[in-house]
Amino acid sequence: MSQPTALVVEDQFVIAMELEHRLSQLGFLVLGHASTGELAIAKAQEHPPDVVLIDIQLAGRLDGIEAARQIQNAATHELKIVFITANSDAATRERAATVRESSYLSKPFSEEALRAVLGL
Amino acid sequence: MDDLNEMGHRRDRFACLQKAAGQLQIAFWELAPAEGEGLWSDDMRQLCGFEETAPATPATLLAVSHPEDRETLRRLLETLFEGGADGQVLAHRIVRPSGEVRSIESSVVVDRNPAGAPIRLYGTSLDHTNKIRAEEVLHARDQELRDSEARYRSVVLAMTDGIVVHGSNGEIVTTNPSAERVLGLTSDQLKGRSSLDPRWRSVHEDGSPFPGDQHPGYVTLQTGEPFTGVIMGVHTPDDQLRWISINSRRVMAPGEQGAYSVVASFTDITDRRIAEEKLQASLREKEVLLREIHHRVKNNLQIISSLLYLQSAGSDPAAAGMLRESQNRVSSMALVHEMLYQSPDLAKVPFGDYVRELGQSLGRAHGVSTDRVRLVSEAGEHILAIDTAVPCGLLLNEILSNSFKHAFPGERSGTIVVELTSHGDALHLVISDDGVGLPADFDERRAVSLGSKLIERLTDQIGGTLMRSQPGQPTRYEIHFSSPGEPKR
Repeated sequence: MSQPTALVVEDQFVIAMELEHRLSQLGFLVLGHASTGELAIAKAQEHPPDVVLIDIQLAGRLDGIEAARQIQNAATHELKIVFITANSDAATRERAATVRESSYLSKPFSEEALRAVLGL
Repeated sequence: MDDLNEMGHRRDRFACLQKAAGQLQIAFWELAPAEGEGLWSDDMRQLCGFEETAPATPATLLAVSHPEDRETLRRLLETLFEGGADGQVLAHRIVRPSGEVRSIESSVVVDRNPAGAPIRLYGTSLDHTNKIRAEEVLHARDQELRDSEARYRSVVLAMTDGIVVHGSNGEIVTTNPSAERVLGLTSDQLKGRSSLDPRWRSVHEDGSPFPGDQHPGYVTLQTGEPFTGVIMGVHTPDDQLRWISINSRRVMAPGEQGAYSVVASFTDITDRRIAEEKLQASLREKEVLLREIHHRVKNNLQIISSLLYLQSAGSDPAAAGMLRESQNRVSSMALVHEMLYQSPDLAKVPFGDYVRELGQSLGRAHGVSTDRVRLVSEAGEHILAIDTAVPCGLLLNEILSNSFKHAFPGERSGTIVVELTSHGDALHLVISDDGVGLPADFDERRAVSLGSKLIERLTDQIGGTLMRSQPGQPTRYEIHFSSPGEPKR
């Protein structure tokens, strides 16, 4: 079985670094890091990941939910989306829940919470 | 002898006249220049309050005459005795001996001798006092009514509230200047319009159409039901939307069942609505800003947590453990901000929910399953403000971490209980477990761990007092503190 791959989409680079490190520790091959929704779509097209960890609030035209929806719609194989956010209101959570195969991780997150959301 | 006969005839004739006049309540009298030739009818004596002996002479009549009318009466009698034209009518007043003033109307005709010289006056007097008083009362009432109407009219004209009166067919029949000003229509333009007129283009507060047959004035006219404070938007001819608060009452005709008209009064609340909308917008803006602040604080706490994690990644196990503890402390603060963000007023934390969330998070962080160590939160419905919630959260983090870490070694199972009770402003926080407790040889004075120091200093920060169980006993912390202005939810 090949190593699972992950794409981290986060505009805070320190947080992205933690995520990349933790994912590596959990056995993922991190394909890269994007700081905007547009970059994330391009990277996911270039190297389709198995899981995308994506912040909801991103700089740029697309927010995390819309970028994730487009990545999911374009995916040719099973793809898991994990939304990460510091806070979000009920309406945002409902909107996020409309994206297929998605789950939710609240910041600050523990390794246990990350494991749980990745199904490990 | 002839004179005596003549006098007898006159008395008989007078008696007949008196009888006839008495039927009509008319006082009758005769006056002659010479004393002893005049006669008063009984009604005349009664009317004027004459005694039986009072002679029927002009002087007697003048004596009871009202001082203001006496001269006029005297001149009339004098003129008549001197041959003046008869058939004269005089309204005058007499003053009875009791002082009572009566208004009478006297008609006088002259009896003349064959040569045409006046020899006697025949008079009738009618008491008009009651009629005049009734007329005066009626006049006074009429005046009062006119004054009252004038007062009401001036009040209606001066009112800043608009007034329109709908007639029985629903059309406006009366308006005041304020109604014309608010609605942007002249009195003539308003008169004849009904609620059903589509030119009102009336709307509800939510902007949906407000049909004319639902207008308060229209419904009141149809059903009699009064309305108070109905909000409606109406478009003026220059296409401005004016907001008005309407009251409507029916006006009943005396003795009638149905309303024959409806008075609708309304206040222009356009400026108030604009101010309210601005206030609401300002509050929404403040709420958005506050949420954004909580979001950014939490995001920054995540960055700190990430930095601690990245630092721990290359550290030795002891240092990495300390860095993880700090990460948990940061997380306990972040949880406060998450709950503040989710609370309706962005200012209060439901403590019971906080305890459950923090307990689950710390249990996972220490690899302790909820099956093995159960956390029971008995914090009720207490809420804490941010100033208390953050230090309380850190306190809980230290004590719960100790329990998860040390109280249940190996596969030992047990329960951690967090209780928060209140007595007025005084709060009593108890955290206890049924684990192994501090070792019997634990020397509190030598306990210099950061966790122990934090527990003491954070208790000081919230102005509380701390009691903890003795070494060798199951762990129990009791913290008493006060938290004014933090009522139950």
